Amino acid sequence: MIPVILSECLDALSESASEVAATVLGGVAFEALSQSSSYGSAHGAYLGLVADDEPIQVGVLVDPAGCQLLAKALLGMEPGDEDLEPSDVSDAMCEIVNIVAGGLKRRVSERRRITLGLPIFVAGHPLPNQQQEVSARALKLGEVTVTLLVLTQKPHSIPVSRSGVTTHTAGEGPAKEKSA
Amino acid sequence: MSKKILVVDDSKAMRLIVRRTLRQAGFGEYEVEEAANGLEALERIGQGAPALVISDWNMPEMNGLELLKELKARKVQVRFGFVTTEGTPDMRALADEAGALFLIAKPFTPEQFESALRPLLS
Repeated sequence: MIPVILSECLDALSESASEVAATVLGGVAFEALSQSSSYGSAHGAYLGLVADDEPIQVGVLVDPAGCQLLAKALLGMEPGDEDLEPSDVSDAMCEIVNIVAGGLKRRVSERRRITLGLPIFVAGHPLPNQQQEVSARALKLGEVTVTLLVLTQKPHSIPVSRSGVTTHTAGEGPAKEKSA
Repeated sequence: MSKKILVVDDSKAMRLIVRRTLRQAGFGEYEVEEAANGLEALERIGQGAPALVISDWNMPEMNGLELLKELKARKVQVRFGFVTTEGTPDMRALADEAGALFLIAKPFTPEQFESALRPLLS
């Protein structure tokens, strides 16, 4: 079962993505697909935010060809135009996640206090650790399949050590540092 | 009135989109200049005030709100508005209080640009 905040964020992100499709992406078709558990091969633009006091990461995940298509749509180019430089794709994907997250903020601002962080584009798939709860939803923007991802800390989870390795679990004895 | 509009945004993609939207909204006769943050914008405005500054809110070096406050402190007379993801009522109130003439939330349409900017530029 998806916790309320994850579900609320995914709904707001999905509505926001629909708005992005209709406006700055030039009116490309929007289609909501299903709950998604697969985001394996995608690149992604991510933005950290704090909802009330809870840190959340949202992401817009797309395969590399899809990133090109979305970036071109954002910049008013045709799909067959010459491919953009990676830095331009990164910039465009960051802007897309920025706008989508801004839409989330507007939609939930009456219920939750949201502070947006900085966007970043990452080439490669995410590897959440065992303390993190991930929820994803697939949709189509034009011909591009997009996965919206929301990542939160699991309730009652123990922070990981600086090495990125969990040092102990609830109910165990004193923390024992492991090497990475 | 100057025939220049200054677009301030740290995203090159968004500066291009604002340029395109200005054209689509019927402001193609204006020359569009760009700055990547508030400090760059101050430098450009110092060389000659444009008819309008359209600024993002969140930027490195100097953000949009700081830019607007600095322009007010220097008593620079220039029309100023925000185009930003920060479209909540709180942010709108902050922008209004600082003297912004409009706040357009991203994502936006040419029609929104037209209705916000036409009264200022006609």
